[in-house]
Amino acid sequence: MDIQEIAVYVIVAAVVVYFLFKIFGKKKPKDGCGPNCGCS
Amino acid sequence: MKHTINIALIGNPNVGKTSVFNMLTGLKQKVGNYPGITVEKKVGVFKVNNQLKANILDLPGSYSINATSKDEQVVLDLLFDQNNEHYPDVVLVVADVENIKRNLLLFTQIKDLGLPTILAVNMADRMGPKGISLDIQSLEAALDTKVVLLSVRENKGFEELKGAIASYKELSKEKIIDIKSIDTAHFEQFAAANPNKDVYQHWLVQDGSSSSEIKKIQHKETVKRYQIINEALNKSYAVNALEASDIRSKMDRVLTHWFFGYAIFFGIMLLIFQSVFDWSSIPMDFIDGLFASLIESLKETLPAGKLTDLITDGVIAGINGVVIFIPQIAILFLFISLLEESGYMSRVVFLMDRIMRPFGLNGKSIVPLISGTACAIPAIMSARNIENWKERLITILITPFTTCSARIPVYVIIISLVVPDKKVFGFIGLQGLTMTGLYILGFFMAIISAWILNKIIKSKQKSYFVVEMPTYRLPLLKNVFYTVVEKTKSFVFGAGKIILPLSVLLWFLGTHGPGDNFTNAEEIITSTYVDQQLSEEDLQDKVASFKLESSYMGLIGKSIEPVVRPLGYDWKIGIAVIASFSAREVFVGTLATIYSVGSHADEEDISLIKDRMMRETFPDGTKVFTLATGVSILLFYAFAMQCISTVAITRKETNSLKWTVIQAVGMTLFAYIVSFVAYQLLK
Repeated sequence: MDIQEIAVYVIVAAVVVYFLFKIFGKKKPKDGCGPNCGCS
Repeated sequence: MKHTINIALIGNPNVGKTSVFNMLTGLKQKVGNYPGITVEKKVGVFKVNNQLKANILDLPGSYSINATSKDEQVVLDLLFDQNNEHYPDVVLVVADVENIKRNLLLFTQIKDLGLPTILAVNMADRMGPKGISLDIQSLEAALDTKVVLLSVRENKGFEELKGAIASYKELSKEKIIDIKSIDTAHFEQFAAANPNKDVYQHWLVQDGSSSSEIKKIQHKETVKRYQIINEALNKSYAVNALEASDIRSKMDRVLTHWFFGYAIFFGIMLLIFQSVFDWSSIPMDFIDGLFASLIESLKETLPAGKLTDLITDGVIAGINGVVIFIPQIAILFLFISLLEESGYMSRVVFLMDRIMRPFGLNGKSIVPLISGTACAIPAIMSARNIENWKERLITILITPFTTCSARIPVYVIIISLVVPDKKVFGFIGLQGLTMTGLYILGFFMAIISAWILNKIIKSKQKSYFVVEMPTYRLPLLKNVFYTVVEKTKSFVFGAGKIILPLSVLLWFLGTHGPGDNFTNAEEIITSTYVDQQLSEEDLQDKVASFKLESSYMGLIGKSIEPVVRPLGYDWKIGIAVIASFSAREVFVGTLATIYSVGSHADEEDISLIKDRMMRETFPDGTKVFTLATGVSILLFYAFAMQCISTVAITRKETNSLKWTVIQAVGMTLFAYIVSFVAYQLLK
């Protein structure tokens, strides 16, 4: 496995982690949503 | 050290509040000319003077603080929450000089909360043409407040406004009316029940009376306030009708006419979509060529290897799939923004109320439906200003049917593939006409769904429609520019955040695979075709194609092919459809990645994604992208809920998992059935 191939695996692993984080990561509540505005 | 204060910017819809915000802060923000466009609070910072800095909060447009809509609730929440980080040190109420009487109702309510308040009378440049005269001193005395005359168009009054803000501690906190004078018995009793509390503030949020009783008192409050406003304006405000020109009513008669109104509206829409196609072809070709040369030069410069392939075929090919649509999106928003800025969009709202009513919608539903041509997310949020819950829910559920900008890349590529570039009647392009047809189809589908939902959802709440008719004005080019830049940027970066990593992942799945078939593709193909006299190029094509089929991506695509084949799709389109469940625009980027992976032809030949797609065939040699497949894809993307962000915003705005699931599953299922029928009929 050459250096380019290792770099590719590292990048792809990072991308998978990024997607997992996007899907399962906790989302910060958006500013501006009070208790009465229908979004909480 | 600089001291920082908080300013709340409040006003009725269409008073130019957001333009004032832009002038003060220089921040880029969506500026519209029809009600409900400002749905989220926006904060900006500006220097008042050398000692003072201000955080300014642009609140949604409200008619009063007797909250009847979500927008008004946002205003109320801030003004009553002293612990809120944006709780204002000073409130800047913006009024339109032409509609000052109505605008002052909100002002008097804010003033009666006991907050230091400045009244900014905006659009002063309209005073001359409308024959309006305003005695500032007299108005200040009558309302016991600081009044500043502003003109965003002529950049006038802002230094005086900053001066008034700097002296915010000297502003009067005196109330305009004694709340008890509205209904003595009711408020005496209310005050006795709530000792040591500000009666007006407390009454606005805590009155436990029946809703009909509250409405009665609110009505009395409005009458009382208008008495005071009339007295104040009688002394300070005059309109000389002889000086005023009446172009507005003449234009209104035509633009809101029962026949010409609609004819003009659809004519304008057709013109817009025609321009989106015609004007964007040159910059699009330029961008495409630029990316093709970039890929070529990188392949020559960088050392050969998998990382270089990832950069060129994965990352850059994917980015190209997004960037190439910048010209079209910018042109579309240029037109939409011009319509908003000119005041025409509000006429469309009025015009559409007649159509909307029978379908359980409100005239205001047109705001989300038209905003939905940009993006369903802000559009769904803009439904907050629809007071009636049922109408709001229906609007939220149907808005994703309108053709959002993310669909444009899919439509453009498919239309240019399967619809001939011909003219109808010698001047209307068939491709532009198809695009217009898809926009109308989206709108039509939204209306039909609304009608069905109106029959299903039951509600006893009464509905009413109030819309602001702003004067016609020449669009402020700065605001148009901000909108175009902001919307294009949000499309590119919003889509890019998904497309870039997805392109990397897709490239990996397409260039790696399990088992011997993938690893030994070259030997297998060479031995298979050993008897045939294939050229080196043809042989390499066969190898590339076999490798793609044996890759992870090929295996995934083939496993879902039975599901998508009845719609006319091959496994490659199937992958693009699955990938674009996250966002529609991913479809084109994904296909670009898939096809560049599978081809080894010269870069010049494959520079256009379109060309790559045009060459695609099924194993039996028939073309993949025929009219039947094209129509099937167009219909699928017109109706399917392929946007995770829209699902999230529906969940947030409806606060209901049930309606979110109904919307997502219902739309996608419907899209599948329609595409299936269309393909089977046309093939």
